[in-house]
Amino acid sequence: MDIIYLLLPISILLALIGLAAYIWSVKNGQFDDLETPAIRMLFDDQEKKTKKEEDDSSSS
Amino acid sequence: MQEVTNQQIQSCLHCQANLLPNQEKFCCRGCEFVFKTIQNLGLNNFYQLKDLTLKNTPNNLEPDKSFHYLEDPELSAKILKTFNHEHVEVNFYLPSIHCSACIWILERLPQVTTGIKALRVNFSEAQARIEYDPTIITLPKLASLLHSIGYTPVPVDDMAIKRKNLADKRKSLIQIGIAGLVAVNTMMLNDSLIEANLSGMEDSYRILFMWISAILALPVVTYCALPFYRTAIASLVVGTIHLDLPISIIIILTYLTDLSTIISGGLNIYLDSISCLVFLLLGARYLQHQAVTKARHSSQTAWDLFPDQVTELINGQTIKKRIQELQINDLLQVLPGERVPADGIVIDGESSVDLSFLNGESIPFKIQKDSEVYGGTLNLDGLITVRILAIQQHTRLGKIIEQLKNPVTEKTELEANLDLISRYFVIGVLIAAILTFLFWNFVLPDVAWSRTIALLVITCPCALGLSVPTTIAIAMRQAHQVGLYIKNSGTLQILNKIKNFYFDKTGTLTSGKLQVISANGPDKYYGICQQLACAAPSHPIAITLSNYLASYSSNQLTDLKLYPGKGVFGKDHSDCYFLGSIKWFDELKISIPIESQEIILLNLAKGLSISLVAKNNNLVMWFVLSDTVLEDTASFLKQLEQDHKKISILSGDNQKVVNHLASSFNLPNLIALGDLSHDQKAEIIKNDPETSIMIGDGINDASALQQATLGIGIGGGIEAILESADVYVGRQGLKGIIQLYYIAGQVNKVIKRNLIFSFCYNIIGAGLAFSGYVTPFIAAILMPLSSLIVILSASLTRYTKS
Repeated sequence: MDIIYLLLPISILLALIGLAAYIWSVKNGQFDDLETPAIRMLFDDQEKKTKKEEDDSSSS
Repeated sequence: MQEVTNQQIQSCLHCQANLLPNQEKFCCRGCEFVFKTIQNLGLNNFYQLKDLTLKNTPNNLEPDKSFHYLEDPELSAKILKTFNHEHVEVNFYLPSIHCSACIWILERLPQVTTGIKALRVNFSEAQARIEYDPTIITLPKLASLLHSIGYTPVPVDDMAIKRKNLADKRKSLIQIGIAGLVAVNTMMLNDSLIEANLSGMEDSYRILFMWISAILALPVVTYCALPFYRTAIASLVVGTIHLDLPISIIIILTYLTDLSTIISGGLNIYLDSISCLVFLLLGARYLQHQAVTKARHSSQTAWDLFPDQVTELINGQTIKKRIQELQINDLLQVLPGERVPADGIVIDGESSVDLSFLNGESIPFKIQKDSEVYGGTLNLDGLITVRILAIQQHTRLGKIIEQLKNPVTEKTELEANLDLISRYFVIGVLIAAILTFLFWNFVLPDVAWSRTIALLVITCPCALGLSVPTTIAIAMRQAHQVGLYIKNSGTLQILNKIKNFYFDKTGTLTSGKLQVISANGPDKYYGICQQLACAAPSHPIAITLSNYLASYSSNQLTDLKLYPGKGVFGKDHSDCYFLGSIKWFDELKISIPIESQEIILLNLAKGLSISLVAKNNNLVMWFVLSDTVLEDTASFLKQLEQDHKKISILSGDNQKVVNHLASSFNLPNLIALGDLSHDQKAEIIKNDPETSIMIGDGINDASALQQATLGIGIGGGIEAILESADVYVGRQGLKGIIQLYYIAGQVNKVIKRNLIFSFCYNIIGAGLAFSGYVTPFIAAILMPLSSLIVILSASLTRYTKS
């Protein structure tokens, strides 16, 4: 049972790391706007294509 | 499509409209400008998608002169956030953001424009956060770039408030996060403690677990629960009792008692219960706060109708300035396509304006010298110079917005009552807790503390306090979304209780889009009729006539005068002309020839409306007009009848016409009254001892709307929302009323459901806690759960009818 003395601090440490990550993400503004990212992710494919085409047109 | 001969381009490069022989590539300067701008930005893809080849040389974009006001240092200080001299952040409000393609095009800008480092769009607030390098691109240049692609930027100058709100939001998210983490971990530890008590565990482990719980719960009690302490203390300072008071007492008392239990070697601690309570309560409040904030935001968007910058005319020179700097008596130039920035009077120029947001009328309204114009209206075709008479909040639109802002903050009678009830409830809970403690301390001291905690936690009247404001706020928001403007939120609560419904006829029960069936009389009077009809721009019959006769427009009449509910008078030198109802002509003692009389009577019996025109004392023309009954009218009236409402039609139209309409609904209790002046309508409603609702035209029925317990103005009245009516349904007409009636029904249903639920919950909960069937931990889950159920039940309900 002495293993508890090791496991408890580890589990608490893990929880604290998670908490720190959460606090960082909140302060970083990741929860400020929950609507736009949902739409923005739909553009990804198009974005690459546009960039490529632009490169093509600028090189020609 | 059209034939393409030779290699000449025949359609506009931008919009593909057919070109005139003298045009080369573009149909208009607007298209040419948009085309070049899109090209400059390297967004050629737009045209490739349209299968167009591009043969144009890009030229550099000059900053638009109009955005120089952004260089004002005072303004810059307010709107800019400077990181270093090459890195500045600005927030722009871009009212034209409306779809996902807008996000696409805006967020592409940093890739195609040097100087813009990053651009992020917040879709729900229609704002863009732009980081840029001022050494490469200046702020006016940036603004004109946005303007040129169709997103005219408005600087967000309440950034200080916004930043604070954002900081508050982030803080509560962190508090929720910490509380959640602690709740889960203390729950786990406490679980093993309970197991340990049953199976026997070494004391050293038990004490370790307890101390870890106590340390974990410390930030919850000190940091996360701060909002509760703050309101509790604030309420005590002003001498009232808030429902945060028992919550604060529970948290602090439980923590202190648990500490003493640990020190004295006791067995039961409730730290997991309070952590869980704090977590769930914070979460519920966060959701409620978000819902209400969103509702408030939607009522402020009408300010967008005011332009941000204006063109002032000083000694023949034009100067741009911000709308905030505008003063009364300033002379302003308003170009076609611009919105009039404030209320004023036209002193030069002729144009037509779109008044649709004020009166719901989509037909442009002609203005000339000495006409009044209102802030927010769109100038359509001519350059006008305007002398400003009222600005900002004092304009008609400004007043409407101010009134629309109030309802969310104003408390309704029911809410005030509920506040009182929950205050007594809190006192009751505290007394009950003390009694429980004393009772069990005497009977069974071991369980006294746990049962008191359970009782305190479970009976907290949060659900009670949250239910009404949340329901109202969300319903108001949904109402805004479907275009209903509700001046007072109490409207939604009383609408369904009202007994007597009064309807105006034309434009309310009927479509108001009349059709001229026949014009009887010599056509030399058409021009005069047209001008007379134009003088009553809010009356449905006059609108129909003026459109019908649009090609005959003249302006030979002077001294035009409108007699509301009766007709229009005008003078051509010594001749007097009248256009109006039969009743008015009776009053004026203008005789109608017998042969015309017969035909007129026949038409009236068929339910057709008649408009008469007289020159001096002789009838010279008459118009027969038909109106169609709106499809929803019959079913709505039937529904009202089923809800035991008394329905009356009050109309200024001929009694026979009203009778014809009334009989078509086939409702035995329907009362149809015709030939009424608007004063008589008001009189009828005033003398009604029961609660009444009047639904009618904003201008013509203003006094009747005011007399009713509840007045609803159907499009056509600027004054409607300002003075007389409680609800403005814009151009939706009866559809809006049906929607409103439905929303009110839903609101009452949800409030009732929530109140019954929270009362039952509290009473049953108190009983269970007292008798020990509920442990403090279960109570800590049940209580916030009840708040959550109330909030979800309010926010998941669809209040509007599709």
